Amino acid sequence: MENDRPLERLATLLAASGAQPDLNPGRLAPSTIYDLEYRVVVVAMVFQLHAATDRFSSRPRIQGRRLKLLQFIAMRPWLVDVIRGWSASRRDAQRSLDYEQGLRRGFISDTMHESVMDFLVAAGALRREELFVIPGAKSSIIFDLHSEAEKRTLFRSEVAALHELKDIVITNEMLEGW
Amino acid sequence: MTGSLLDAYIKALSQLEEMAFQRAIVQRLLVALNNFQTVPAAPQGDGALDGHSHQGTHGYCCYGLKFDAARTPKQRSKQLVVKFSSDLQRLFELVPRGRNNFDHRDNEALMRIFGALPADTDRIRHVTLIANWFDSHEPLGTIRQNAARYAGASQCRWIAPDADIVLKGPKEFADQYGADESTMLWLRHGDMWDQIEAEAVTTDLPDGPTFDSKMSSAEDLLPESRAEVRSIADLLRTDWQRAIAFERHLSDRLPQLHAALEGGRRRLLLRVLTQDSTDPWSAIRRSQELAESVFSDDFLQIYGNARVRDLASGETARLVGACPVNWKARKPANGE
Repeated sequence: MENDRPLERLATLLAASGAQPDLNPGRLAPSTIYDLEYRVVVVAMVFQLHAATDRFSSRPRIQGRRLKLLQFIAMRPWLVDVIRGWSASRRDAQRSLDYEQGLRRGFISDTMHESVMDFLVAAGALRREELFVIPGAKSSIIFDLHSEAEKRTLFRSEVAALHELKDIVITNEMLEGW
Repeated sequence: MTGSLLDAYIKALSQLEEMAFQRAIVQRLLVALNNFQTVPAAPQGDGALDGHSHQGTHGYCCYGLKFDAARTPKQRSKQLVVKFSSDLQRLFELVPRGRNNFDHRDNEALMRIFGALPADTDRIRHVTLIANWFDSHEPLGTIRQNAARYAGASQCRWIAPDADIVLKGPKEFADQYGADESTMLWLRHGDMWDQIEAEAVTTDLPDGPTFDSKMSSAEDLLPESRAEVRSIADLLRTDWQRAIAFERHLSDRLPQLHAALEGGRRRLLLRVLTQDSTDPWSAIRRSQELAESVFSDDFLQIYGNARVRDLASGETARLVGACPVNWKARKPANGE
């Protein structure tokens, strides 16, 4: 048997047996990380759970980069341990490199997030203000999405990851690009 | 350069063995020295040089010891002495005769590498011996003494009799040639596939009976080939696990390549579905070939042929596991 082409071998055997192939065009589910609606909900959850109140304006706000990192991890809950290790080792230069490189490269090159943010800003749900992201004129979109997800206990693994991330120190230095 | 980067580079270098270590050293020298020339060992040997620079007056030999925790520093020192002394003998064009004598033997590889015998002033004057372990000064004296003995016995056609012979470990090498992020990435790239293979073994396949039921159905359709179908199922399952581990790796670290993978997957499905309809099995038979062609666009230059084949196998297996490809018994002619 050709070990490097098992499906080819199976198809040959099945064809010889008189079986019929059955191809389903609609059955290849795309990855959720390219689903705009999913990404919008994740951003909404990050904003609601991690935005801090600005002491001058009393508005909630979050650094754009922090939002980007948190949504990246929320969609990949298994990375919570990686950022926990990175955070714990941030004063140990050698150890921290073991953690930070892949994760930092990953979230920095998550270009789809920028597109999602552009969409939310254009829709008026959020606004960019210098380094921060603040609620836009139609911020109810964000709040409603979050409360709906919460009411229906949707996206449990993402929410759990975001709660865990609250206890992890993420410094500005960790958010800087190279 | 940050201390952390250099430290991490030294650590990574000291963990590489054999050819992996040599490749890492050569890669760094290529970046650090604009006159560095690599010397491939294929097809007829490297003549004991892994590279040279400064118009052939500097030579470099690497040795990535294979680590064996049971070996003592003394034993490792001896390994270094044996390997590097052997390299020096070849540069001095000597073969041992008895315990203390040597005979001349042309190093033909050096003639191919340099093209002609150098003038006395153009011979190799500096030899850097680079090892992945250098925690003992024991090899220094022996290698130095051996070099002096070889110089005395040699015609010194390629190497000057008073050439400097310097032994460097990962730290000394990094102190001189530095490190950079691209080098670190390059070093870690090799580890990536080992990690993916390790992760693949424990990767859970998506829930649901689909894959298993398809294989059971294939066994029912092919009662004479049950063992072979089971073996095929195992291969497909392993390939699929690897594909999932690879996808996760891309998603975590290289989102843009993940997007390319997603796009490739869509193109693969489209190609499989739009193959010649007169022989519906041909699309499935050719799916691996189609996958290799599709994924070559984005992955060949980065990961090479072998990895594109692995990726194509995994994505082909996913076609079965994730539903698009199925099979069923042909209906009887009377439709019953």
